[in-house]
Amino acid sequence: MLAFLKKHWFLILLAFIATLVVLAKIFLTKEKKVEAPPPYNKPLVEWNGVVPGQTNNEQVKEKLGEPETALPAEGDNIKFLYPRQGGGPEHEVIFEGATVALIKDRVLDGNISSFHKKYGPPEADFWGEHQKSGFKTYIWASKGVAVIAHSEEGLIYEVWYFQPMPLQQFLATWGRNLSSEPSEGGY
Amino acid sequence: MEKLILTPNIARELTTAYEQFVKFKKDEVDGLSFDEYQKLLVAYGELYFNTKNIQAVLRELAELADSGQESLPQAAVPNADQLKRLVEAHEEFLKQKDSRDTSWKKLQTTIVERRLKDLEAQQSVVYAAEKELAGVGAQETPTTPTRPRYPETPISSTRQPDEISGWSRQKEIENLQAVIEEANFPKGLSQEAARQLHQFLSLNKQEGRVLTSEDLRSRVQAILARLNIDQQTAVAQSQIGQITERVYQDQPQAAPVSQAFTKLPRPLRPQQPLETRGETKPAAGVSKETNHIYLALRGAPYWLQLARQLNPASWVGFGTKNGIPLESINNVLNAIERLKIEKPRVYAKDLPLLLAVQERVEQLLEAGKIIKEAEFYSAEEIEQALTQLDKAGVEISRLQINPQTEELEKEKESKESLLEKLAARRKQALEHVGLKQGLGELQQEATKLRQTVSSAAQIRLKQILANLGSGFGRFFSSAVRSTFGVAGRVTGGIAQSFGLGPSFSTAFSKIGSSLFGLGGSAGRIGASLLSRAIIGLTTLGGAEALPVVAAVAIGFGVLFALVFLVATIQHGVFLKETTSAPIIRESQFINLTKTADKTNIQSLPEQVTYTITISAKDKTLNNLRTREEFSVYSRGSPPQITATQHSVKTVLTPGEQDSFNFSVNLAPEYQDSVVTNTVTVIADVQDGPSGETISRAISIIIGNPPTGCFSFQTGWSSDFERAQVSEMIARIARSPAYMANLCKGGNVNLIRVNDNPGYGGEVRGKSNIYLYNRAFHREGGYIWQNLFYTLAHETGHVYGWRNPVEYIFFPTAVYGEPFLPTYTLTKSQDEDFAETIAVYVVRRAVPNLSGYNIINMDTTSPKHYQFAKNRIFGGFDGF
Repeated sequence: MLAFLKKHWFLILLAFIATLVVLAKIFLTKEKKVEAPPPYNKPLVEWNGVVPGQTNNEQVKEKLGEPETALPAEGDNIKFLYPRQGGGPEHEVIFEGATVALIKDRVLDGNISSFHKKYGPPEADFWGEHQKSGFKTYIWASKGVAVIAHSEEGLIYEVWYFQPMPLQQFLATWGRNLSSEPSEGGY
Repeated sequence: MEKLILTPNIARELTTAYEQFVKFKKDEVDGLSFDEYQKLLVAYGELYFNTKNIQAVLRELAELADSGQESLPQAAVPNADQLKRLVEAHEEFLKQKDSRDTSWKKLQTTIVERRLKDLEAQQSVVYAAEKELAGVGAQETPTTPTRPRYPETPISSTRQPDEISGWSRQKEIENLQAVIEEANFPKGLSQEAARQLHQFLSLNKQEGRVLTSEDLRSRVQAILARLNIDQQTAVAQSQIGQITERVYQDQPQAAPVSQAFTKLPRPLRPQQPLETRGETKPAAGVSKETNHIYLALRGAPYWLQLARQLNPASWVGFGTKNGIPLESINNVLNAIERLKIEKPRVYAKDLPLLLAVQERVEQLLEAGKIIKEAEFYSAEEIEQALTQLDKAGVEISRLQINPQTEELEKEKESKESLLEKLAARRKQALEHVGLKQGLGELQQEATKLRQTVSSAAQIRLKQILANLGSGFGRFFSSAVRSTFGVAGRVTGGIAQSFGLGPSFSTAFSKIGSSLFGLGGSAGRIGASLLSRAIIGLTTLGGAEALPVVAAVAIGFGVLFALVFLVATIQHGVFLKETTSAPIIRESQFINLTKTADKTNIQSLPEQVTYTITISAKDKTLNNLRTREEFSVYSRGSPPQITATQHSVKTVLTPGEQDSFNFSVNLAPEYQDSVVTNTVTVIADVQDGPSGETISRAISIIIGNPPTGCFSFQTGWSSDFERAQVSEMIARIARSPAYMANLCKGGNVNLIRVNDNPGYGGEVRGKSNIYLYNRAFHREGGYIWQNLFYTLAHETGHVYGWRNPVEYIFFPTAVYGEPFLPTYTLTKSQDEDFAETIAVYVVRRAVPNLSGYNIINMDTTSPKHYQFAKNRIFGGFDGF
């Protein structure tokens, strides 16, 4: 018996710990009431008078004019393209239903330091589009802002505006293609 | 202007394509991405309907398609840009469509041919003979006659059935291969994938199963994943979906009614989980030494088909008490004998057939003894087994460890022991349904992977050493995450194999899943591991041996964690950016070899002798001449070496060769330089092209030539390769502006990796360029253009990282122009930026890149050209 205990002391120890854990789980766990998360009340961001989550299709046209191009977006959604003042890729206003959900402002200028001053340090940063040229996506999800900027020099490629939301929600929606590590192969 | 007439058919195609994108969530239709398709619609809209609104365009197109009337451009005067965009977009559309149509026609041809074969079969003499047999007295005849594969020598057919069958089978496989290749699956593997897929489809067809789209998709995924293990690249869902869709269109949507035998019940063994089948006792009367006949897996052999047609009822209980035993078979023999006596003319007419039938029936009688002892499994069970085989394959393929590391020998033994148990369980479960071949392939894959472990480990180590800062952090994070996660999952799987029950397995799977979600932080690992493990263990249920089981489980988990940590180290997981080197074809008609008596010289003066041999391959070469050039890349400005004029035979017949040598004296002013000699042979091929060319270059490193900010790091074991890279650096460095901006961020590290990942180079971070075998060797030999392109492209990425101002300006500068077509992988702005630099640099040396003529970049992609010239290369265009 003693020999058995000596030989298998580690397994027995593990078994003992596991037993304690199971018992603790059985006796100490209280059923928790699942409460609905409180509504995410954060001030909404604005871009040229357009507020994600509020402004609708017609209001966008009133504020920005007729879009240069209207394209089908993911799902049954639609996006309006508006020309950028300096030329180049257009700004995108993406709708969910009839309401603006995301704005991609093709900034192509400026430095992310201005966003740092305004919003503080970002909640998270991830690799996404333009990662091979050193650009990362810096996220202030609770502010409804994400900035794609160079990881060393801070130069801004574009800024996203959306309805403020928890970071995890952002990563599950607009940020679902972002990754904490540069993506493997594939491009 | 004919192309500009918008026909109802084109309108219908466009609207249908839209539905494919929107309703069915296709990534690509007719070779066009959604973005490209939208641009096409906008172009149509501008020209025909005076709108850019895609919804409006679609409405107009739908109306046009329904109206059946053609439409001419409504824009008052289409401007040049509108026309250009439309024509470009439409040409691309037609090109892709044509490509798809070719494949489709091929598919249709195969279908027609197969149907023709079926018709021929309907007329076969077997059918006639069976009718004769029925008339003579055979008591049971098939209600729906189907031609068996015999007789091997047909009487009324002009084609040999087996030839037709083999030919048709080959055509089907080729067609599947075309479909698979069309989905961008690597060509080297597509043939095997097509073969396996064909085998699967044939099995289903023979079994009369109605194949669902999900079944097919699952199978396609499994085959591609299994074949793709060595490639270490993910098989995209879009690839699987595309192949599934194409193949599924050609599959029968209902069981063929003509194959009566497929409806027959079989003596199935009692239904039970396959995993436990190995532990069941043999059925009564079946010894352990039973010869297993893999009827279900391998398809019904001819004698089985024949037996079913001769007497379906007899097959149900063939050789058993319940069925009609051997009587009906004997009846067939009797009927033939009676036919011989009573209707000698009929007998004589169909003599070959009847002899064949007689022979097969006799074989059938012998086979009956074996059949009596055979075990049968349903197609569903086999599918289940195959699925598990695939899972086992993935698990085993991941269980790689480094056999060269002594410290890990214990873990290796443990792992191999577990592997054996795993494999044994799988084997035990699977061999009863005849999957030995599958297991053999699996083991071969595992062996192959094991062999690559060593080189993979070396690559990883070099990567880590080359980028200690970020590399190790990422490595550690990735290794820990995948190690613990996979370990947990596999342990769960093994637990299930050991028959510990689903709750145990579920628990471990939860543990695995929990661990898989861990990041690279050790603290998070510990905390999350414990908490998730607790959650997992508490789901075990009330097993009495729970603590012991849990302890054993944790032990296994820890062990696997260690093993997988090692395994993960050895697998390249950092590779991010890939580059496909361009395909530069060698001459089909000329052989050219070139050697130098020395390629590495420390001090000068020195004489170098080159030897050149030219030969004709299959056709006579006329008007043979050579062209030679030297280039020198050096710290100073040594004089250019004057090329000599060589006299060669002007005509070479097939197999004939001409050889000559020449020497060059290198003076001390060439110290610390790279001297490259390129010889080009030009000939007019008899009954072939004129001006056929082939080139060979040799570089000689003298002393320590300058490499600018490029720094050779690890892996450079070949002086030749190093010299070649120096030569390419020299070519790129002809633009001082480019080099200055490229190098302003510090050294650019060059790491040579002896591996074949399927591409030539990659960039990690802002400083490390990895060059693989493909950058140096392609299609059996060194092709310097490959290296030139690869290096130029990769420096483009480094340039982009180090010069974000230029990168940000790029989309504005090239706005309105499509991405350069020469980059063959998924296009993006990142890649287009690097490709712009590469094409600008190499376009004169590599005028045809990836099938595109790029030498006229200034006219084909003027915005890209201007951006490169003015923003990147400071106006220099002397490459």
